[in-house]
Amino acid sequence: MKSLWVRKEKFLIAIIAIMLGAAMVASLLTISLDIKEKMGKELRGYGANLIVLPGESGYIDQFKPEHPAIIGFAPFLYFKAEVKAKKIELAGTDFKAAREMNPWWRIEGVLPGPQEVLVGINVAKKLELKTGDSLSIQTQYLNTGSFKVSGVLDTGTSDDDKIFIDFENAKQISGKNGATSIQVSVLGDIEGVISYLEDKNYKVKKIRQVAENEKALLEKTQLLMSLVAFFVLCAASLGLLSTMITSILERSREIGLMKALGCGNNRLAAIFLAEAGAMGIAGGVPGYFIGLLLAQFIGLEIFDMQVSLKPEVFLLTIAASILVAFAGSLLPVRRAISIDPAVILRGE
Amino acid sequence: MIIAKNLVKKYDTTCALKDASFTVEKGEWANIMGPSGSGKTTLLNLIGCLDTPTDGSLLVNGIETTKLSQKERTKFRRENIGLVFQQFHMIPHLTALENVMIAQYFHSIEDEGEAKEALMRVGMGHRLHHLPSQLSGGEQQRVCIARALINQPGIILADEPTGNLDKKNEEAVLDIFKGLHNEGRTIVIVTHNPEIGRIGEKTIQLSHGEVECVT
Ligand SMILES: Nc1ncnc2c1ncn2[C@@H]1O[C@H](COP(=O)(O)OP(=O)(O)OP(=O)(O)O)[C@@H](O)[C@H]1O
Ligand SMILES: [Mg+2]
Repeated sequence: MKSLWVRKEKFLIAIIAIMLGAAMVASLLTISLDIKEKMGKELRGYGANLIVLPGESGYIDQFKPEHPAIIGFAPFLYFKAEVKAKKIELAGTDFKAAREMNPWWRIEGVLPGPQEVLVGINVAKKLELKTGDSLSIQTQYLNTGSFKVSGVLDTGTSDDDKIFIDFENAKQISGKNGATSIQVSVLGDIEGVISYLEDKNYKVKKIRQVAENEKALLEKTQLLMSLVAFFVLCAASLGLLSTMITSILERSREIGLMKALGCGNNRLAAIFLAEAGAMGIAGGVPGYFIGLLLAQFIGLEIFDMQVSLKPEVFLLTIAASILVAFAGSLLPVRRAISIDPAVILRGE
Repeated sequence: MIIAKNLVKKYDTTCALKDASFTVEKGEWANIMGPSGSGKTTLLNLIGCLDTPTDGSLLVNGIETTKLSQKERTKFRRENIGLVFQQFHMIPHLTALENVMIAQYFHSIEDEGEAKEALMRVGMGHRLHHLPSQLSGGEQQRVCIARALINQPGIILADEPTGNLDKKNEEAVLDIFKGLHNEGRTIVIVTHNPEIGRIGEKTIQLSHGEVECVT
């Protein structure tokens, strides 16, 4: 019997508080689950632990390191070209070496040979390409003949937005005469390798460390958000508690009457908890969407990542909102149950 | 049938009811009379299972109500007792119809048709969707009687039901009670009004918490 419930306007503040709490929970969960997953992919991803960039020279032509700790390397030549009238980032590489350094690459199809390409899954979707299709690559230098798509690449990283092509082909098409970066795999004395490479006038970046820094940042962000979420939810719970207590005091005659008319304690508790639950949902649903926006913002601003929707976050957020509403109404409900109809209805 | 034996109700310091014993037969109209503070409301609350006596025995419809748990008392009240109060006690944001249906809701399930019928019976068929604040005292009391009737209780308890009403409304309300009495319901009314006192078959006279006489 919905009409038993009081007007909701009184509870607006409490609902807004729940909404804010839910927003924090939703964004926290989205960030935690999604960014962590993506970051984990990247961390796992880097079988390579160093990226070597050219010094003054612009391109790395001859890369023949002789250091015992270097166990492998793969050159990459990144450039932009037009494919199917869209600007796409291409990466020329030595497929055999690249495959070894990136064991998590999921390839539908086979590794390309000459005049063949591997298409990142996002590009494949965008350009409607599939294994076996042909495409042509246009740059300012030349319009190449057709390349066959030998496979589709799914990495869960920004590599999905690229087309991979044989290193020699890449040099021809782009008109560049070397790699723009080289992934290097080091086992052991990483600092020794860095100074060895720096002596050769290369710029060196530690990949794992970059990711590790981001991981620390994620952990800090999570901690901060958990704290904020915790306090906002506590405040929401307290706000609901005080509003409900006031409302129950105001309505004690009504409650006494309901009891006199045969409303048992369980029924009474159920009515109030249902009311609280409804408020939890009323705050939780908009809170979830606000939380998504917040998560998207944090993802882009802090982690430079697009966050994706996680359906379980919605359920968890709503559950948390309802839980908070219940927590806030336990005391008021006990208060309502303790009302003695004999005393209340005697009232003058 | 109501059988009270040596009922005692003590509040912290005051003894509101002392050794009250009496019987009200099924279908009887009994009045409880006595000066203010003599324990009339206390007694009615005990019969209505709104309160528990400190001592004594109280059989209502063959059930020893003093032995019931709180939950059982609520259930017992729901199924056997209709309550009418001097201050009406309606839920202010519900309409007349909803105020009647709420008693159905607590009892079993809501039935709008039945609730309308009950309101028609007390002459409130034309005010179904009015809020209590839009009704006169007499009208409110009639709605409350409809609410007390709706679950077909065997016993109707009324605490000064006409105390806040003028002569005309008092008569209308009493007529409804007379109708219920003719249907065979047991009626217990607390009243100061000697005219009502003459209607009933029995009067329980209270004084300082004691039953002075039953006539
Ligand atoms: N909850 C309570 N706590 C303490 N004393 C109470 C309580 N309820 C009633 N009393 C006392 O019990 C006595 C009987 O009260 P009761 O309300 O039954 O009288 P009454 O006959 O109904 O009076 P009235 O005609 O004014 O309604 C009074 O002295 C009253 O002060
Ligand atoms: Mg009284």
